[in-house]
Amino acid sequence: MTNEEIAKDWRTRAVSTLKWMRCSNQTGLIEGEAGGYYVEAEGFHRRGYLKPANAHQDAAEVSRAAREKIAADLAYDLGLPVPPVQLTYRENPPPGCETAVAVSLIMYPAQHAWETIRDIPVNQAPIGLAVAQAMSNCSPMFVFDTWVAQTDHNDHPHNIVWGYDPKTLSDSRIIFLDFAFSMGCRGEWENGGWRTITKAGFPAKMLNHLNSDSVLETIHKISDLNDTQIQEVIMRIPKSHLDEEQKEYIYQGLIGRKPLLYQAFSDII
Amino acid sequence: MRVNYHYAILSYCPDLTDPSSQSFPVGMVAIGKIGDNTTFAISIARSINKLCSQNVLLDPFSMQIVENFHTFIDKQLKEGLEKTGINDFLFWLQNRLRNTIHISHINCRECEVEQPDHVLNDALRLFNGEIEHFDPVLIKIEENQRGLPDIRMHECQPPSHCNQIHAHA
Repeated sequence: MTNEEIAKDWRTRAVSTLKWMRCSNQTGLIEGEAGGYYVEAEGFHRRGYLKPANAHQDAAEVSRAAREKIAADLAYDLGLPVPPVQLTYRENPPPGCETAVAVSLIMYPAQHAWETIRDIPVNQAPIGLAVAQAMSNCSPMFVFDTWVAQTDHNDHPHNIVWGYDPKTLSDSRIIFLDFAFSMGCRGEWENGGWRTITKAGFPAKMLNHLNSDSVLETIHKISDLNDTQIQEVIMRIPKSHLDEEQKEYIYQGLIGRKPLLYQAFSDII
Repeated sequence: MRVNYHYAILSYCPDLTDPSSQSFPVGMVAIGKIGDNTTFAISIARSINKLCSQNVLLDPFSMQIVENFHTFIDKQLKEGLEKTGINDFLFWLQNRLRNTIHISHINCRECEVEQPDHVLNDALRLFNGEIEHFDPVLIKIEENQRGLPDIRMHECQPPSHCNQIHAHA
């Protein structure tokens, strides 16, 4: 299956029908904050990343997996470079760890972290050209990150990744990972707190190549998203992954912040 | 003299999307001290020609890293040693490299050498052992033809906050 086919399929449901298990290829596994690991499923020969796998005291409030899924679905609807996500249940997790987890698709055979590639000179060499082209498509993410109050991109070394198939370098993309702490995860959107909107932190190099037309177009796209469509994305998340109160905060925030994007980007558009 | 050092194997994963894809070593970086005051670092890169002749398709950016491996490691040393010092440098690098090019493992080594620069031979033997462990066929071919792993001793700039470590080539 291609990335596009998987993304389309995963968008149709919140909870995966696949049974995920740890795979043999754990390349690049580092015990990060979320403590995830790589997984595969029978009949699905692609690698995914399961998270969160560590114990967290505030797991129920933050609901990391649910936020990953909501962000991925909305990004899909907007045609933005965020890997597809599905929710699943972790069987027999270690004490204190969550059963409510998410699996994010590993999208490209070759991937390199932002930290490794951000100093690549934009020039006429094949790699320089490919990175430039990939970066030129990142402006919409500045708007999306602002909408969902993403706080983990900025110039983050690993949450932004350049990926491609080695056979088609010219078709590379920069993808944005990790929305676990977005959408007011620590109560910032409660009691109307979502009304406070400031531009999300974004890599300086991307800001230097920001396309204001693309920014405006993305604001229009988000504004045009049907409220019912957003509601469906949020409300279908099972209670095991997101409680009703948090759903309501996220819904109010996403709907309410749509028109505020014009104000937040008034100096650019 | 007795020399203690840590080393990390840098590996390449041909397909991150494949649950059963196997990584293979493309280089090694070792760092340690000789005596109390002399820091050394060694990088060893596999011959890119040999990798290609084994039908290993490196993606373009990884190819660039492996082709310029010593320069790449030199840059990491300059940045990493300033931030972490020699004890944590390899873990710092492991955290940095965790995608197509990644550190597959870190280990420690103790050896006896007659002269300080003999540690190069020890590191090279170690790396050859790593390759052999991965695939005996590859090392056999590399021994039979030109294109042995390329090795370099780096000049380690002491961290500015750590005066007791001296630069040494």
